[in-house]
Amino acid sequence: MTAHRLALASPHIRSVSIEAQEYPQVAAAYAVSAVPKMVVNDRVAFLGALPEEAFVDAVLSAVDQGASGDGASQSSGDGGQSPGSQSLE
Amino acid sequence: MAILNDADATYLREQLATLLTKQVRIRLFTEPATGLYVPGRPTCETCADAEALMNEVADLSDRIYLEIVDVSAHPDLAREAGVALIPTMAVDDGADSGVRFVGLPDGYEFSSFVETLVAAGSEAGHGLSDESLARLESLTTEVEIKTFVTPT
Repeated sequence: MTAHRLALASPHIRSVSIEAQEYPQVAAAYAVSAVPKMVVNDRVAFLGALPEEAFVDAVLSAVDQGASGDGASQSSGDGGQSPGSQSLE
Repeated sequence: MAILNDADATYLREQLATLLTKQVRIRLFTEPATGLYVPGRPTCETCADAEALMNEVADLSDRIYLEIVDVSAHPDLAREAGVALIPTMAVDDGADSGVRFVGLPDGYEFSSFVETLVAAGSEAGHGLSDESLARLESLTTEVEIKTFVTPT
């Protein structure tokens, strides 16, 4: 899993994978309706199994957004079904 | 009754013998089944399965060692590791790498789990490109990535 690889590679990154069906309340709290769904620093989300370069893009971009944001919860690319993601319904 | 079937166990044993070149630690944060029902106290439905599965995984290779942390007996260890939900499995090579699996890694997620064991314990390691590594080196803030997954 790419997120885990990033955590293994970088001392600044932690990666937690969560079984959405086992923890429906946590999944609901993060508005998870399709998987995989990645949430960075509890602020910015992206969907779908992205190739490595795009995944790193998404993580770095999320960090930039989080750092310059006003602390309110943001969601990017979360409106619809992304290619590579699977609905939980 | 074993969770992994014989064919899978044999295959994994062979793969891991080839691929693992260093020690891999699995820390399983869990709660032992007491057989007592305590009203109002949530039971961990998958903890027993997680413990059984992790024991089977540890048996697949001499390089995999399993530490079981009872979170009710050692809440300090759970807190230190940032563990809030159980079962949680932390995978690393002996030094915390920040990798956690929350919930039983069932179905498709089990192959993700094995891949991560191999990534933690092999020469090829994380397998990221040099370009990705260079880009990650620019990080100065702490990043936590939660990934919601499903077994199917």
